[in-house]
Amino acid sequence: MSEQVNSPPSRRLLDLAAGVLVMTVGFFTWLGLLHRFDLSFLYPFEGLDRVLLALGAWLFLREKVTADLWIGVILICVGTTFVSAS
Amino acid sequence: MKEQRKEAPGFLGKGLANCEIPGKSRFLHPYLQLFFSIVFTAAAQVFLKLGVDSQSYLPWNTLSNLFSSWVLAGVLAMLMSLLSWLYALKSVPLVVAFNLAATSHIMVAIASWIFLGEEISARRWVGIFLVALGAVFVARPLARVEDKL
Repeated sequence: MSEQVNSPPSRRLLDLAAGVLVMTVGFFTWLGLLHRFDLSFLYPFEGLDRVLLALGAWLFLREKVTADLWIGVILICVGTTFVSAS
Repeated sequence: MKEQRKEAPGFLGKGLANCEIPGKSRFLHPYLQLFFSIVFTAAAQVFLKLGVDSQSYLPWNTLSNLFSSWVLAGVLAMLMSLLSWLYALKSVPLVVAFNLAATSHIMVAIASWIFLGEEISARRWVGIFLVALGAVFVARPLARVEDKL
């Protein structure tokens, strides 16, 4: 957050616009998927965003992957596998 | 505000004790707002599902479909959920909020069972619970990451 505050306003506006754009694309993709699948089938896949977040933190922020993160990521992956096979 | 976030090692206990109630309104209690946020999240998903089911739908083709009342209700619910989430985060530690947000998986499943009449097989329930449990496990490390950002 500290870097964000120090960056110039134009840059922050650009970041915000990019964020809004990505969210909009995500929203319409979600609508399209909802049209095709049951909500109870689709929603558990939303849990994968945490796996991606963990991956991003590991790749870009060089975070150490702790044991609880590993356990959680594995549980989410196994869970979505179960759902996708249902 | 920031210190409060960091000194919250407990799953729920310390967070509850630390929680300050602005004014005297119970309605503004952060944990109530957090609960609202989760309910709104589930409601938004149900609304959106009703919205896309109520018409033959290709969202990227026909923007006018976006203004079906169910979809609008869904967007509104998402907005409400975001607002109460942000409000709650002012005093609820991020770890705790993430832990509680994991229950949204269970809530969405129950809501789609009750309101959408979806049949959820045993295998799907197992999967949903595993995902929710996994979300609880990753809450602490991810909260640490987000605190850094």
